[in-house]
Amino acid sequence: MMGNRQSVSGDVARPIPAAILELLDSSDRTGSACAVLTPAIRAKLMELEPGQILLVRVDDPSARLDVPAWCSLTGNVLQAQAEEDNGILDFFIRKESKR
Amino acid sequence: MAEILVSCSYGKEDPERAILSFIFANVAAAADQKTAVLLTIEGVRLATKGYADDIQKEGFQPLKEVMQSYIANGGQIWACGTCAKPRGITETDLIEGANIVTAAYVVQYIASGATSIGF
Repeated sequence: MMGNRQSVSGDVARPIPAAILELLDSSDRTGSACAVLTPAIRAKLMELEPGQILLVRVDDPSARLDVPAWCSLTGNVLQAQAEEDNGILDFFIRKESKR
Repeated sequence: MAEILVSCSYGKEDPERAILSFIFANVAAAADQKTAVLLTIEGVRLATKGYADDIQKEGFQPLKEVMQSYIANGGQIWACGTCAKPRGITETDLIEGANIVTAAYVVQYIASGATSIGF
């Protein structure tokens, strides 16, 4: 849900993640990020407990659409997102569902 | 949770269509949506043991990898019974997670509200 999203600038405290998932160099990856990103997020979140935060770092701009949509469908919360100076997108996802 | 039906009629003769069907289905299953891939015509061979193991397309994940992820995410694979029979495919030929289904079964799934998409 876009309503869950909030921008995080460099001066604002970033949520502390329990784990990090990186999908970088998307231009070299087999399959676009949209094909692998959300299944990879799901797999990584299964390692966490409800309430813990996963930081997803990705360089594919399509993640701006995929991550909020996936969170909306699954009930997990996109607590914050930010863009680093090098263009890498950071998404902080709080695990809500048990799966 | 929505119900989603992904239809695929292609096997090794069109790797891109076969792989994309499972990529889309895997994204749906990984988003906790009840998802089934319906394999028809030559696509029905994708449900058989070993057939998909060497199906690849440049720029895509290998099909076997996508199918394994899809099944692990709770996705279902339905092999069209009408298509399986003339190809000599029976339940014993199928990979784990796949089942042979009938037309009426699929119609019921769609009539009950499932949304379908084909590649």
